[in-house]
Amino acid sequence: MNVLKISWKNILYRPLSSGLSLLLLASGITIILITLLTAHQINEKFKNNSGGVDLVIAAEGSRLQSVLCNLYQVDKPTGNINYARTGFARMHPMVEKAIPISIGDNYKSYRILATTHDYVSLYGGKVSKGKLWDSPMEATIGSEVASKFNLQLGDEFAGGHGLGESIEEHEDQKYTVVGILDKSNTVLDNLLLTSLESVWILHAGHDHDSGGSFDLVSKEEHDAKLKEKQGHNHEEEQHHKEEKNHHEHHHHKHGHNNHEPKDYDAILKEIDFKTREITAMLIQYKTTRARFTLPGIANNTNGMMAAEPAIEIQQLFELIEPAINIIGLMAIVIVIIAAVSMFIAMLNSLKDRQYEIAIMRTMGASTTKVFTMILLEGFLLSVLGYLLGIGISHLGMEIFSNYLSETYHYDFTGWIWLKEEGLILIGAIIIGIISALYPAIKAYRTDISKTLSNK
Amino acid sequence: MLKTQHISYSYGNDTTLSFPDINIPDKSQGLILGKSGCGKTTLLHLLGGLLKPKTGTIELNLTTLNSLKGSAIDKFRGQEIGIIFQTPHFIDSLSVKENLLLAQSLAGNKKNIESIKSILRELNISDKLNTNTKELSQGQKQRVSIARALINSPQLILADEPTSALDDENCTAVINLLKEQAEKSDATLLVVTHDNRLSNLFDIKITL
Repeated sequence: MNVLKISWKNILYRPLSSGLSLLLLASGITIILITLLTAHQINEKFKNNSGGVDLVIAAEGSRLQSVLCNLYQVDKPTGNINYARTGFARMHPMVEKAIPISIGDNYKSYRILATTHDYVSLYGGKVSKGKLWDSPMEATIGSEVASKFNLQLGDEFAGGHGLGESIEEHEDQKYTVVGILDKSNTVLDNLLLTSLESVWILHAGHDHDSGGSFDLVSKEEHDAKLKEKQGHNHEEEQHHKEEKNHHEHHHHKHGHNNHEPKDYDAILKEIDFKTREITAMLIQYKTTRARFTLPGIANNTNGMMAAEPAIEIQQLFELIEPAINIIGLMAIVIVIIAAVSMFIAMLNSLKDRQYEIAIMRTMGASTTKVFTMILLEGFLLSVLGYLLGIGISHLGMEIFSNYLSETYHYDFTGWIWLKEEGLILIGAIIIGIISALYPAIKAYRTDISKTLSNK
Repeated sequence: MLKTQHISYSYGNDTTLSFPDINIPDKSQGLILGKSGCGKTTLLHLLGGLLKPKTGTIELNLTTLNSLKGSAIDKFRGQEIGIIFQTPHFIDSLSVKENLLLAQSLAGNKKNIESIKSILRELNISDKLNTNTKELSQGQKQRVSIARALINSPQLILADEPTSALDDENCTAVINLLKEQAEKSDATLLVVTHDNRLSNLFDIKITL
């Protein structure tokens, strides 16, 4: 029968008041921890997904939106920009890498992103099976997408138009999976990557002026336009007989099978280079001095806008900070209520137990022992509250993360452990001991003779 | 033997209680009689080391009780003095067995389930071993408190009005039980009471 066991029995003996204190403490801890877990993972994501990109050049609109969409793959595009007119960035001497991307289609709400191989190396992505895309309509897909839809090498899938649930599918032209990437904990995991040409081909029939990537053309209209285009092709071919023989090939195949790669080349040829569009250009500087010239040039180019991810994300965090502070404040208030509730519960139970304490003293318990017993009760309650809080937080985060993954296609998890959890444990123990301190001192000072004589 | 000399106690400054000297041999059984309010319980608390006398000395088998300091007196009390109170009280969150185990551990003794079982058998409540103390009847509680006072085989057993709430039949039964158990464990028994029914059951009587 050691002191710890008596403390434990005393806690169990008052399940309601102990339970209330536990629940309050656990709630406070849960709010703090879920906030920390979410903030930590969002921070990680932002860090992992920045890819060292210094500048995002996209269509005019919100700079934050442009960064969120083109770098972090969460928001919608601001529109399209003309690929040919981004030459100033691609040729700029202080630019290390200029990676064009085109967003606008999805596969079951996962983004199909058209780009160059540089995009994969930006995130240090590695091919685990197959290869990176070569020809149009070949796709190399992220590990999460592959496992979620059980896509294998050689599988075909149709892209849906837009970024939400598909409104219209490009059923006539399917992608073929030629590679699957290793898990990299970056945006790559949740993307289906293909060449820019694929998107240009798919959208060849679309009206390029109608709201960038979001042109909502009905399937019939789309098919009709495509046919018209191909018909036009045919006519044009007659005038360019000296062109390479795959044109002739196209001539034979025309209208029969859209899956032949040479077919794509023909369509591509048809699309004037000057009308080709992309959603954004991701820029990595060779030297930071580039930031004094390049953004200015981009902003002065008609229809274009430069956004610096570092600044935009900083501003986003500044925007969110007050909200996080309020949540933190709420958590602190709940923790204080928990401490007060623990204090009152212990003081109340002490009133009933004064006689018990006197009896323990007559049985040989020293004042220190009695003092320790009450402090231990506070300690045990706080450790239990902590464990309960930790359990609820991680489990809650795991459940919550499924929802987040569904919504944002970002992988969150409840099974990560932060070093702050150690600090929270220390905080909880301090709160438990402080709440128990005065009751313990009262127990220490119990006048045994007087207490025993009063009953 | 239990020996007191010139002991007095004062509550505040105005009232000082003086007590007659006590000098009784080992293993004897005695009665401290007195009217309500004459300081019987105070004397019992002084003898049990729960209070410190203002003047005088209390000796139990060569240990001067009032010279022990701090936790030493708590430890001595736990090992050598068993106290039975008028109304029995226990640690409510614990069972009969656990209360007795607690008495053993607080006295610094090894836990000994066998001795707990045997003492409960002696007192005819062995079936209550795992019962919570709250669920016991008044008579059973009194027996458990006797068991608790005896469990560490103390040299001195002090009982404060153990019979005041009992009818004649139970009164005699409890006193006989106490005397019998004290004798078995070679302890000195002192009963503090205003109950005159007890006066012819004891040879040694001290009147306040």
